[in-house]
Amino acid sequence: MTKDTETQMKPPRKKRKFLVGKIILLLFVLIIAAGAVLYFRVPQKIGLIKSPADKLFTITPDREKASAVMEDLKEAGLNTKGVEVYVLPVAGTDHNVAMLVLDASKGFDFNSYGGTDPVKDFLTVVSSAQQAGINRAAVAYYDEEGKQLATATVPADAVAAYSQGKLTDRQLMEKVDVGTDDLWAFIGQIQEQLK
Amino acid sequence: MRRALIILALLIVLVVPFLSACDTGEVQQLIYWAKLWAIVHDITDEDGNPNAGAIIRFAAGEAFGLGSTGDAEGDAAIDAGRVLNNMRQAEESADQGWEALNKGKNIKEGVLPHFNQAIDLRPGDWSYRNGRGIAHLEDLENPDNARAARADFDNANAIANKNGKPEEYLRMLRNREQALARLVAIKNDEHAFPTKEVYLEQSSTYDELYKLTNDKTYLLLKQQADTNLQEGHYWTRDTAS
Repeated sequence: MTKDTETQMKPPRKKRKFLVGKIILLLFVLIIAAGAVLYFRVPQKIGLIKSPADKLFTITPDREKASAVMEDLKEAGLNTKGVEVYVLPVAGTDHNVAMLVLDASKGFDFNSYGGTDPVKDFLTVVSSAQQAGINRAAVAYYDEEGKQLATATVPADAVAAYSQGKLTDRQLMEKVDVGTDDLWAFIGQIQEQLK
Repeated sequence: MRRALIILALLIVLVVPFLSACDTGEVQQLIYWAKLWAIVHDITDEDGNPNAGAIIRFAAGEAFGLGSTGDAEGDAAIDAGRVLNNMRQAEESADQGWEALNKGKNIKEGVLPHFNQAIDLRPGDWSYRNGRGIAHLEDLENPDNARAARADFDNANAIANKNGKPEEYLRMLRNREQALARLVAIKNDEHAFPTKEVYLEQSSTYDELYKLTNDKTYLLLKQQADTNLQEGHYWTRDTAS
C-alpha cells in the first residue's frame, strides 16, 4: 500500500463514523419520539387505537339505575352538590359500571361531607348497588377548573364480600385501582382542599 | 389515563405528611385507607417508608400506558376520562334542550341545536335521538316535522336494537314514553296543549310497550292519549297562514 492509497482510504472511514453517529442519533430521536407518542396516548387520541373505555362504554347510560344510586348516596349523608352518577352498561355483557363524579367546579367540597368515614359509606352504597346489577364502581374527581384529576375503582363483588365480613380492610384495598392524568395537579388539589 | 399506582406513590411521599396534620375524623379515615392502599400495593412498607424500586417500576410502566388493573372493566373505568367528558357535555346540552323545549322556545333556533350537539358528542346514545324526535313533534313551524321526528325515533330504535338485547330496546322505549309524559304534564301544568303529533306518538309508544310487557297500565295510558286526540286537546298547524 502506497502513501497515496492510505490517504485515499482515510476520508471514507471518517464518513462511516459520521454515518454511524447519525444513525445512532436518529435511533435516539426515534426512541424519544415513540416514547412521547405513547406517553401522550397519540394513537388513542387520533382514533388509531380505541381505549378500553371507548370499546366497552358504547351503550346509552342507565339513568334509572343512576337515580337509585344517587338516592342511596343522599341517604348515606353525601352532599350531592357537584355530584353526578352515571351507570354505564358494558358492551357485550350484562355488567354495569357506576361512575360517581365529584366535581369541585360545580360545588363539590370534601369538607361538606356529613358522615364519619366517607370510604365506608361509599362502600355501603356500592354494596347495595350490586343488587341492581352494578358490577363495578368508580369515583372520578374534577378540580375547580372542571378538569378530571383522578379516578379510583373497585369491583362490587369485593365490596359485597367486605360488607359481609369475608374480606379484611387490607384485602379490600388490594382490589382497588387508582389512576390520574395529572399527578402534580392532583397532589396540589389535595393540599388546597385540606388547608 | 392509565397511571394506576403512580399516583399513590407520590401521594404518600409528598402529601401524607401534610394530611397527617389534619385532625377531622373523615380526613383521618381517608388517610387510613390511603396508607393501607399504599402498603398492600407495595408502594410503602408498614412504617410508611416509600419503596423506591416499586415506585420507579410502576411510574415507568404506567407513564407509558403499559400498566393494567388486570381487568378490562377496571381498565375502562380508570381510562374513562374522555368518554365521561363527552357524556357530561352531551348531558348538559340535552338538559339545555329540554329546558328550552319546556319553556316554549323556538324549536329550530332554541331547542334543536342543543340536541344536535348532544348527538354529535354521543352518536350512539339513543336518548338524545328520542329527545330531538320529541322536539320535532312540537315544531309546528316545520311542515315536515312528523317525518323528521320519525327519522329520529327510527334511529333510536336501530341503536337500541344493535346489540340484540330486548331489555335495551325496552329501556329506550320507556325513556321515550317518560319524556313524552313529562312534556304533556308540563304543558298541562301551564294550561297549554301539546301538538297532535305528541299524542299520536304517545299512543303508539304505549301500545308497543303494552305489547312488549303485557303491563295493563300502558293500555290505560294509551286510552288516555287516544281520548285526548278524540277530544281535540292539542295544537295543530295553522293551515290558513
